Amino acid sequence: MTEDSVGMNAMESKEELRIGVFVCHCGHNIAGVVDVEDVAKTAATLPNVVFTTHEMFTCSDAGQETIRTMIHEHNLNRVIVASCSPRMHEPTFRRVVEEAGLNRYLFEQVNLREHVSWCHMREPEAATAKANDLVRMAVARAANLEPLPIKKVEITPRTLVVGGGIAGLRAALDIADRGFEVVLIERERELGGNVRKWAHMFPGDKPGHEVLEPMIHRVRKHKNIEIRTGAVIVNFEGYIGNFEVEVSVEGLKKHKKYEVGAVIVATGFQPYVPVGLYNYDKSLDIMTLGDLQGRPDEQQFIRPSDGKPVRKVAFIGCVGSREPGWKGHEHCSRYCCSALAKTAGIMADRLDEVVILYQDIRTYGKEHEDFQRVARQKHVIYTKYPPDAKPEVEVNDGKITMRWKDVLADTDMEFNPDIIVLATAMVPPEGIEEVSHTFSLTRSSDGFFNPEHVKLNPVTTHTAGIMIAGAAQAAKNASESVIDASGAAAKAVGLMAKGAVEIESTVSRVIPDLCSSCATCITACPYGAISWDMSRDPHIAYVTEAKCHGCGTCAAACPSNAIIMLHSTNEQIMAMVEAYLCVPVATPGGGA
Amino acid sequence: MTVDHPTQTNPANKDTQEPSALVIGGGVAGMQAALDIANQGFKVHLVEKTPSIGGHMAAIDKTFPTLDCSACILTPRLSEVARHPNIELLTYSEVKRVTGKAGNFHVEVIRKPRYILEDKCSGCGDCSEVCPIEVANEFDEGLGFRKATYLPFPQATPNVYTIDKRDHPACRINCPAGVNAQAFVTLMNQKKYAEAIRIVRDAIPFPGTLGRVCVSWCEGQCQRGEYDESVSIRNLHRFLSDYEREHNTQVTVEPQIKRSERVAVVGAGPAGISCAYHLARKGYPVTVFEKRSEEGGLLKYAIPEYRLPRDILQEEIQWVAKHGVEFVCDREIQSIDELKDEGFKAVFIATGASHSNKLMIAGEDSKGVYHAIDFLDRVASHKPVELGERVVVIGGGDAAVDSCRTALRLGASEVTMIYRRSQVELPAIPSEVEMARQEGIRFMFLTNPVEVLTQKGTVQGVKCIRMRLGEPDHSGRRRPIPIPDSEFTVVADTMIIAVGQSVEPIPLHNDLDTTEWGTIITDQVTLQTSNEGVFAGGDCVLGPATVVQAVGQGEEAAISIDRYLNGLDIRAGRDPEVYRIARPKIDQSTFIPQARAEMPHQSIASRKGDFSEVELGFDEDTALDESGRCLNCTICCECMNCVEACDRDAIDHSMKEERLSLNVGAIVVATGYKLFEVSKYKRLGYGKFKNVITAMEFERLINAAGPTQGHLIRLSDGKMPKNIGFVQCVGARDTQKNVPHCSRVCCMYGIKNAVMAREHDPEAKVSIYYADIRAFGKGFEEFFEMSKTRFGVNFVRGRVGEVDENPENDNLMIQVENTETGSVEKVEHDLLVISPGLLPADDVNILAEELGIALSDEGYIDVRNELTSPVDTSKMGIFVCGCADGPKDIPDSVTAGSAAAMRASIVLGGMIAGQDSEHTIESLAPEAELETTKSR
Repeated sequence: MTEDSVGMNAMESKEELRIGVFVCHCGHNIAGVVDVEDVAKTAATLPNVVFTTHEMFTCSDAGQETIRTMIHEHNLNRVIVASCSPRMHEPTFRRVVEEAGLNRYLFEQVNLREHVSWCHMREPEAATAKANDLVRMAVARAANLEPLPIKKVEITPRTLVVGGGIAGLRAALDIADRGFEVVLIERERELGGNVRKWAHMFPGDKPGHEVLEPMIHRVRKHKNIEIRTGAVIVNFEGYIGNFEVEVSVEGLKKHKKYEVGAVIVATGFQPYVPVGLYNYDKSLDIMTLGDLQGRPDEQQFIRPSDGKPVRKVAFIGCVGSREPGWKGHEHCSRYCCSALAKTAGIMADRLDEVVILYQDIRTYGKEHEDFQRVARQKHVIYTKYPPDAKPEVEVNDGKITMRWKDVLADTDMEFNPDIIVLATAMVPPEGIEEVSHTFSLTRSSDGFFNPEHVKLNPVTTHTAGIMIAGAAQAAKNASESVIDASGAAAKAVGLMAKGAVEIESTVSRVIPDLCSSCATCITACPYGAISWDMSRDPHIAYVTEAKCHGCGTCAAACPSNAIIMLHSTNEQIMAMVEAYLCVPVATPGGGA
Repeated sequence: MTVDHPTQTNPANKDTQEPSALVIGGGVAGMQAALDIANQGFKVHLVEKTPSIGGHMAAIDKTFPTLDCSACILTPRLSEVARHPNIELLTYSEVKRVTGKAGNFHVEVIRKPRYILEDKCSGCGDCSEVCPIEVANEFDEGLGFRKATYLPFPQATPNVYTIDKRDHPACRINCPAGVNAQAFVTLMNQKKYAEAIRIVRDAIPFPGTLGRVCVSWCEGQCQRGEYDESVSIRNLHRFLSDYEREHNTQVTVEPQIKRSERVAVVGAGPAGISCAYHLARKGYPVTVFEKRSEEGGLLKYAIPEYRLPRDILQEEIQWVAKHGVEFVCDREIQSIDELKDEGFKAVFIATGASHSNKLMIAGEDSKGVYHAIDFLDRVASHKPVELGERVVVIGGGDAAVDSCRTALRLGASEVTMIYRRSQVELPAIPSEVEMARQEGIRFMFLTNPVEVLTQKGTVQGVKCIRMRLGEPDHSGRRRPIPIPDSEFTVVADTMIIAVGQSVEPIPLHNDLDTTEWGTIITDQVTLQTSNEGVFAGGDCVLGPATVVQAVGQGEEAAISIDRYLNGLDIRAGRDPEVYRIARPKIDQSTFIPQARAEMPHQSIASRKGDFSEVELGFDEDTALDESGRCLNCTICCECMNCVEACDRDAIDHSMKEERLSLNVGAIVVATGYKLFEVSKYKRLGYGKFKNVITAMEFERLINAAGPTQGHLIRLSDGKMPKNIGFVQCVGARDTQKNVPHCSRVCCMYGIKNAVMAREHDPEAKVSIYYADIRAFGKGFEEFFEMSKTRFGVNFVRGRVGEVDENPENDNLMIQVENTETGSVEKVEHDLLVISPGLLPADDVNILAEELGIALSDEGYIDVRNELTSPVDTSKMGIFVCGCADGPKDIPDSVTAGSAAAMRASIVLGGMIAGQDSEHTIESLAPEAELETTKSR
């Protein structure tokens, strides 16, 4: 790790504090409720504040330019922007002050939008008072801010790809073709994941194994890819750019160890096994779509129970999907409507009757609507069932009877199919819990991993250096998984090609003299960032800064007050509390 | 730990060019692709055809399913792209030509002129503030207005203004003096009369004079005339002059003479005065020599006072004099040397063409026969004229009409104008002819005099012959041919011959080359004569022409003389090639035809008696109304207010289209989509009923930075809607409208909009009419569920049929077939929001052809193999992402952007590693067996 010292010289000299406050209108977002002019004027009366202004959009290029110019013009050494949540624009403004030669940690942001104007829309006066409070507190805190070093870590030019399904294969190939090394691990003995088991892929109409064949062939012969099948991660440590992974490989006595700079988690999904639903476990003739696709073509037209030819088939959609209140099953599984339509369309040629029971037809993809049209042309019957009254399935002496209510015809229906095919949900694979712990990934309510931002950062995660691809992120089809995979590969290559990245300095620091070696912090840290410093006797706690997220859990937990949170020190926080409680007389409208 | 900044450069291949990529389209997908390529250390050219990157996402209010503010999450990315050292942002630009192959594409990019220098503009908006032009703001779906000088949205990137200017307005390029009619008309419409008259005076010193006597070619070409009637441009600048006189607001002028080179102008007619005026404004000391005793030329000596009151003319000449121009009257210059000897460094000759042509028929020299210019001159100079009772005037030009009406005013009881062609060919100003007719002038068309009948040397009548019209002659008018044996006699005691003028041979012209007609030969553009440093213009060059042509040539000569005296190339850059804008598109459905304002006249009875002015001028209301009829054909009117306002000299109105040549290794296409035009579903009433809006309009209406600052209102009455209906699947999943497929995003944005409607007004009732709810993405189903349970959105599975408007309250009466109950219901909404489907972007087919890549049947870009290489196009080295290959939501577009970047970087990486492109393709290709939709 290296340290850069942009603006760090300010740390040395105890120079005069010169604070600038920039209040943002955010168009109408803030200024429509908060009297921004008053906030700027009031801020000007606060101690150490030498410049205040208000701007239409501080985040715009023009706004940024104002900040840079004013830093120079007024010799500002602390900058406060009172605008929106720091979540989005803290990086923007930190960069701006840095461009003007100020250490980025001497910037402070006040959230006047999410914390004030949006939630106090109907009480503008109180909102303005609150805005003044927050700015006053920020000014007090800014006076106590200290510059922190800018740290960089180097990136090991090798990526670990976890999972050898179609997403993992694509990611591995892309990275390898780009010239970087890949370690591809798969816990099964064979590469190919779920796609390998599927008889009719869409679009196109190849069996999954044929689709995969050329990819697997190239992965196997690629000089940049090391494949480990039957492999399980037994240990994973480190931080962005510098991960160490230990893998137990079937057939090898010794664990394999790898140093990697980035990780792509492509652990996929597993089809939900609908035990207890629709008599799935009572009859061989009631199967999942995955079961059906797993059978060779000819076998699909033979009843498993008695070997007789299949003439009538019923498909049921949304099995284990779209179930409000059933944890892990509330989501739509995305692939099933199109897959059902396609399968039914293909099979209809050789069947007497095909019925699809559905809730909504979600053939959203490129040309997927055609699957449905083809199926209907082939007299596949679509019948919509109500979400609150699921179809009933009875099995008597091998004879299947199903009853349901057709919503559109408002009629009770009965049908005796030879087989029933259940389009079951995509759910996280077994062991996802361990994977989430290994890589410190969080999961959303669908059970799959959370991306860093569901809109704009869909393949990166909150753990720097760890990417997710394909169905590891959410239910999706093969084509979408492949796009994810290339996308995640781009992120990994981006890191490796750059060679080094900056990391946050807002981390915790242990004061060795105060540490009582109680290990409270070590167990409290959710990121595994604290370990023992063995070089000391007695051992004391040691923070791996690149892993620390600056959450402060350790500092709060430490019984000895031995941990400082840089950038959120006791002094900085107490200054804010004091500023809130002790309103300067000159400030109108503030206070509790 | 240490960092030694490892790079990907291979020292063995130093001489190969730095690998770079081209990304076409600056929406969220293209931005992501650019970032992910640039983050690997490769150079990226990001080409975007609009003035800002950000695409559709920048205009969206909130995003589903998290309800993040779209602009808020997008802005950091915009600025990341703008600041990335490896990304070259080429906005307002388009890819024109692409040749070559993977690893070595050659690309030609057109940079449209934004008339503002990107590196100088700070985005302060001072220019926009003073811009007089307002047009519908496309970023707000036309619901609000923007200026011609604009930033599309506050966070636009780059933060640089753009001037929306399209070719040249017909009025301006048809004006021989180059008066910027669009600009002054626009400014005066905003009551900025002083600025408006300044614009007129930038071109001519005669707003009042030409406001009365100009033939106004501008009006002949005015595009408003294509819809109803042209704008009354001439009368509008007359109004400016009248207003200034009436309110005494004329700006004081001080001479700004700063040059030592003296310039002589010979002839104080319109050309000479104009030239002197423009030279004085450029700082030259000018002396105008006039052989008559007063300045003004034919303006003074030929145009009757009832058309041009002399005080108006005199004031305007005085105003020129105030610029430091010296007028010397009663002096005829004999030779060029005479002037050179007096120290003049350049000369402009504008001696006019005031010699009346003769008919060359018998009796023309009789008593009672006048020639028009002499006649008018005598009257104007208040010299005695002997006039009989019956006057005939020969000719059809302005001088003929002037002679007729003057004769009438002098007491003639019967005045007849005799013209050899028909009324259609009459060259005089039509309004003058009309007024003459009102005053009782008789017209005899297709008649030609053959002999003046005299008795004792005095006119008794005119023998005429009837004419017919033959084939058009060289002037384009049909040639008059005498009809044999059709002679007849017109009784008259006075005859005025007004059959044109010609240049009088004067000694000064001996120093110059002249034509056989005596006109001076000059260069057509520079007006340089055969004698160096001597320029000529106006009637003495053109032959008898119009005042405005003379004024225009005066200005051109001033430009030449200025360059000549500065030792510059007098011709360079004065290319007359300008492109006239095509007829502006106007919305015919909202266009209300309005006749041009009528000029009030003095009553016929009173005006016949004296020479007081006939046309009374517009009052202010009329002028404002009339100026409001201008269509602003070219958007920007070049009033130059912005140039004045810009402190950074960032504005350059002369900017031209630029062509860039790029060599790139890989190309990413991210050209996005366009929305289906919902007006194609007539039954839904969009465009007919104000309260039927599109989802995108809804987005802008609820957006805090939108035209209503986030207040959701009905467009009919500004009231808050209380019962809103959302219509889904419009322009999607409809084979009859040739949009068979699902647009993937409409269900979710529809639900999001419904939720936002409830957020804006928790009291409002909100219903969604849908076919299937397709909530398939991460968190979508959960969001759909929440919209029902937490926000109380009412979902109706059904098709919306006919939409009708309740005339009492502008509410919408819709018929819905509820497909769950089978019943047809009638529902009333006070706002109906239509969610249009997505279509391929405009012109993507042209781009695809240029790139040599395949399109799907629907017109999206086809991918090589949707399963194994879903972002590769049919051509190696060209990749696609976002909605360019089919509808996608934001996360899917972003991911595809990253994926396309990954694939492109393999090509670029191959170039670094010294592999030829074939090798790279080898590694890209095998599993990506070509399987586009066409081949499937």
